[in-house]
Amino acid sequence: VNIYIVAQVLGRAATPDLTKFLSRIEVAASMTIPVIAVDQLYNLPQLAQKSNCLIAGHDIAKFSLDDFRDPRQQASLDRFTVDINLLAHQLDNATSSWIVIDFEQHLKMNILDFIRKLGDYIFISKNIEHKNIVLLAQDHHVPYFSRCVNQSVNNLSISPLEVKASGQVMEYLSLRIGFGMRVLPRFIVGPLLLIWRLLARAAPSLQRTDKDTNITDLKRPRSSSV
Amino acid sequence: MMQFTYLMHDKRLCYSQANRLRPLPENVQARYDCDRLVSFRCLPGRRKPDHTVKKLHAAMRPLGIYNGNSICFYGVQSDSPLAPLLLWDAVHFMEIGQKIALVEDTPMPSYLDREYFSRGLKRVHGEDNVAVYEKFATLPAEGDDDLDHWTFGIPVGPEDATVLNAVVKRILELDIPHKEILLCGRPGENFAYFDQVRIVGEDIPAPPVQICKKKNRLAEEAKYNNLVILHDRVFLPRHFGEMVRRFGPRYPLVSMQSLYFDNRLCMHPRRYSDFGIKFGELSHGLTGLHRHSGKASSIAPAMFSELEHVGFGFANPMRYHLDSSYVTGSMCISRKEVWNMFPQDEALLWIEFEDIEHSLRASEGGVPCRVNPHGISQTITSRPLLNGAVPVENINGKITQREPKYLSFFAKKPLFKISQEIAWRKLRKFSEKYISKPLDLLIPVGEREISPIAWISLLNLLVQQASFPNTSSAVKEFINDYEKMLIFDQIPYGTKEAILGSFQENHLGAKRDLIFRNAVLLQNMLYQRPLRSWFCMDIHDYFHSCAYSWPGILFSAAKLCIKNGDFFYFKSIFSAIRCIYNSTPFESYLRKSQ
Repeated sequence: VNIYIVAQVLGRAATPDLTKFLSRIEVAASMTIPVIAVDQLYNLPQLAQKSNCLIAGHDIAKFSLDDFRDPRQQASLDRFTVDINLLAHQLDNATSSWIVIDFEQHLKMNILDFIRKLGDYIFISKNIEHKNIVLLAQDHHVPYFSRCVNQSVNNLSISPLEVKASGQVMEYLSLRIGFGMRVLPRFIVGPLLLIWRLLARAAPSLQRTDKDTNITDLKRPRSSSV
Repeated sequence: MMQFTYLMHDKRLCYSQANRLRPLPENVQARYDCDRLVSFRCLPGRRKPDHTVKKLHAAMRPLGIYNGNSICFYGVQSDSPLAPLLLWDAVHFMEIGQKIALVEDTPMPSYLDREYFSRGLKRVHGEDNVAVYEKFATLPAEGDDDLDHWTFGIPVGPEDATVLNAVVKRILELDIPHKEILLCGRPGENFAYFDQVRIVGEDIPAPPVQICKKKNRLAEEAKYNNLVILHDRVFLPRHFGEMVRRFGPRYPLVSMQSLYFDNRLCMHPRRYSDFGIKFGELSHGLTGLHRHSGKASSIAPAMFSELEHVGFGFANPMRYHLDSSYVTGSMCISRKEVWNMFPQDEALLWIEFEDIEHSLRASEGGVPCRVNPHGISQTITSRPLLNGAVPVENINGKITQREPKYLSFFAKKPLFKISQEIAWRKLRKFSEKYISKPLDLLIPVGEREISPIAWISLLNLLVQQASFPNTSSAVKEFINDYEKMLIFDQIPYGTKEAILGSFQENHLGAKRDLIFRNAVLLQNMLYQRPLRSWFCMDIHDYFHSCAYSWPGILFSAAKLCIKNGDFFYFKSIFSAIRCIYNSTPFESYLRKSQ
C-alpha cells in the first residue's frame, strides 16, 4: 500500500487526473509503508505514464471524512469521532485500487482521530495491501498530517537524542539498582527500600505507572505543533 | 611475507579496543594471499605486529601503511566506524592489478560495493564473510596527485563586496603556486579584483538563489582538479597550501573546522557551520515529491518542515558516522571529478537542506566526508539563526548543548551584516505594502541606530497596523515579507507553518502574538545582543585589530586545547595558536577595498 497526502487544491478539480499523475511517482523500495507528501504536481503531468499503471475512471473510490462519521452522534457536531467499523466496512467494500479520501474543512482533531483509526485498520486488514490511498488535506497541513500518518502506520526508528530524552537511560539504571538490591544483604536493602518508598510517595513521578507501556499512547501521533 | 598492521583507536573515542576484541585466528597470515594485513585485533599469542598505528581517529590519515600492494582488512568494518575512511585511502593508494580483501566474522554489506568504487574495482571473489576486489582502473579521485594547482569557486550576489574583497585578497595570498578564482554571478560594484578572477554563471537568474546550480557550474568551469567551493564570507587560513599538502592527495569530500568570534578581541570562540551530523533518520522514511525527477525523495519541498525534526548538530571531527556525517555548504574541498560524479541537486535552492542532501547522497554512493585537521577557517559574518544554542557531539560520542556566551563584557560584532539605513528602507517598504496610511506611523529613517527593545517595539507596531486578507495565499505572502523585511533571517519552515496554522485558527490572536509570543528567532536575537544595535554601523566591526587580538588568540587557543577534541580538534596548543592567528580576518584586508 502506498499512502499519498496531497494538497487539496490539486485534488479537488480532477481526481482521475490526479491519480494518474500520482501513479507516475517513483517510490523506492522501503522497509516501511511508503507515505508520500505531495504539495505540488511539479512536472508530473509531463512525465511518461508507467505502462502497468493505467488508471480508469471507475478504478477510484472517493470518500470524504463525513462518510466515516459515527452515526450515533449528532450530525450537527463539529467535533466527532470516526467509527472504525464503518471505516473498515467502507474500505473493505471498495474494490478499486485507488481510494481517495478528502479531509475537507474538518477540524484537525477529527482528522487525527481518523488517521489513528486508519492505522488500526491497516494493521488488521489484508485487502489494503495492493491499494493506494490518497488523503486530500489542506495545503499547509500536508507535512504535518504526513508525519502523523507515517507514525500511525509504521514503526519508526528513534534517534539517539530521542532515546536519551525518553528517560530509558534511567530504566537501565533502575535495572542495575534492582540487581544490586538482590545481591546486597537484607539488612542493607531493607532501609534503602524504605527510603525509596517514602521518596516515591512524596514524588509520584518516581513510581512506574502503566502509562509508560500503554500501546495506545505509543501509537498516538506526537502532539500538535501546527 | 605478509606484514601485519595493528590499528588502535584513540581511547577517548570509546570505540572498540583490542582487549575487548577476540584475537585474530591462528593461521590468518597463511589463509589470505596479500602483502599486508590490517586489523584492530591482536595476533594470537601476543605476537608483535610489524606496524602499529596508535590513537587512530577520523581526523588522522595513516597513509604510511599503504604501499600500493594488496591488502587485507580483517574485521575492520565491524570493529570500527572509521572503516569507510580507511577503505577509501586503501583503494586509492593501491596499484592497478592489486587486490583488496575484506574479511568479516558475519556476512555484512561491503562498503566497496557502493557506486563510486565500481569505476575502479571489481569483485573477484565473494564468499559469505570474505569479499575480494581487484583494482582494474584508477578511481575518479586519483587522476593526479598534484596539490599545487587549485580552483577556488565562490557563488556571489550583487550586494556590497567588502567582505568578498577580503576573502579574495586572502586567497590571492595563499601558499599555492597556481590558483584560479572563479566567481559564479556578478559581485557588487565595489569588488576590487575583477582583473584577478573569472566570472561565470551570470545567466543564472535570482531570486530565488539557485546555489546548487551555481556550485555545479563552478565545478564544471574549474580549470584545475583540486576544487574548493566556499561562500563569500569564509576566510581561509594563510597556510592553506601547507595544510592540504600535509593532508595528502586523493581525498574525498573534505571540510575544515570553522570558527567565529563574536567580538573583535578573539575571545569566546564558537564553531560555525562546518561539519555536521544528523541524529536521526531523515523524516523517518517519509518522502515528498521531488521538484524535477518525479521521484519520492526524503529531501523535497513538502518535507522541509519535517526535516527540521530530524535533529542536526555539529559533528566531532575525530569521529565518523557512516551516512550521517555531512559537510555544510559553507566550504567543501573536493576533487573536480568527484564533485561532477555527485553534483548538488539543482532542484533545491539555498537553505533547502541542499548541502545535507549532497553529502548524504555522496556518502551513500561511496564518498565519505571528513575534516582536514591541519588548519581552520573563520567566518567573517554570521547569521543570527546559526548563533543560538546547538547540539555538539563530544569526543566520546555524547551530545551536549552548547550555548553562545550571552554575557560578555567585550563589544560584540553586529548581528546583521546589513546597515541600519537598509533596514529602515525595508521597513518603509513593508509599511507601504501593508499599512493603509503609512505616514501615520513614524519610522525614524534618519536615526543612526536604534536599541533592540525599541526596534522590536517598532516591528510590533508595524505588524499590528498591517492589514491584509486572511486568505492562505495572502498570509503566506505576509509571512515571507515579514521574514525578509522585518526579521532579516530565515524563519524555520516549521515555524512558518505554525504561524500559517495560527492565522487559520484565530487570526486576531495570531497577529497580536506574532512578535511577542511566536518569534523565537527574535527572542534569540535579543539574547545575543540585548543592548547594542543589531545592525552594522561600520564594516570594520567584522575585522580584527592584529595587536589587540593576540591576548584573545592565546586565551582562546588555551581554552580550546584544555578539552582538545571535545569541541575543536588541534594537533597541539602551538598548532591551535597558529591556526587561529592564520585564519583571523585582520583590518589589513579592508585596505584595497577602501
